[in-house]
Amino acid sequence: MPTTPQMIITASTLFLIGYWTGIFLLLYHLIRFGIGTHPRRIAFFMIIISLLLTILSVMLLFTIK
Amino acid sequence: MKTEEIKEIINEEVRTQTRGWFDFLIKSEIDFEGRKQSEQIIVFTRRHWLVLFSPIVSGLMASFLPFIIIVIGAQLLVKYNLSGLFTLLWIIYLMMIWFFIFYKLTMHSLDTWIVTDERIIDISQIGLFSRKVSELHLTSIEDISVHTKGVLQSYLDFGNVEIQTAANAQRFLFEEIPKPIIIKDKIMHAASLHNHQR
Repeated sequence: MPTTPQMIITASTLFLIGYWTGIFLLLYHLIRFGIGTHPRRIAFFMIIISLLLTILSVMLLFTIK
Repeated sequence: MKTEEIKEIINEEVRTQTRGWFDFLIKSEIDFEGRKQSEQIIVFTRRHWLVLFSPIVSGLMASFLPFIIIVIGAQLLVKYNLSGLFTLLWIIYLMMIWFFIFYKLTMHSLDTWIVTDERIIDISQIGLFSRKVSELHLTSIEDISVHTKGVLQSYLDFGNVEIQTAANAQRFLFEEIPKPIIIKDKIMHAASLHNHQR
């Protein structure tokens, strides 16, 4: 039987995998079909914000007691 | 030519040739798949930014909802040592909201209309896996009408441009685009030029 921290870590990892799959799909569409600078700007800010939130969530994940 | 002029020309050349790390965010030629070499782009437009206002504002407001839980249940969170878990859940919740906002931005960015000196291209991004590209030659245009509805569309100058083609059933709709009257005039001008050239 997995312990509570193990369950939290597994659920968070699964969420992060799902989240980055979604982000990858959006990035693919923006780069593949985007016209002009507008899609590139969105892609750029999307990566920065997503990276920050991911780092923050991973840091929090390992500080939970 | 004076030395200063030559220096200025060289500097300009250096400025245009030097590529910075973030140049891709500023400089870009509008180009699209299937564009002919001689084809000139006359209009390139997306929906008006106000269309994004509602999802972005609601997303940002939703991201502050957990504050209510903090205000109501702060003591419980501290008592049961759940503050760490709560912050983690909050970050995950924020990620979901940001994903929703980015999804809306992506759809807005990929939903475009292009008018060239030969044709009109309507690119509709309906969902992540649903994309429709329609094309209309300028010779097929019968008439164009502009529709602005409501206070916001009138004041912020955006609305629909409807293009009726020779085939009765077919029509092209530019939805919620900025400056619809100017775009209508540009299309009409391009169509008349194209018809004269033929």
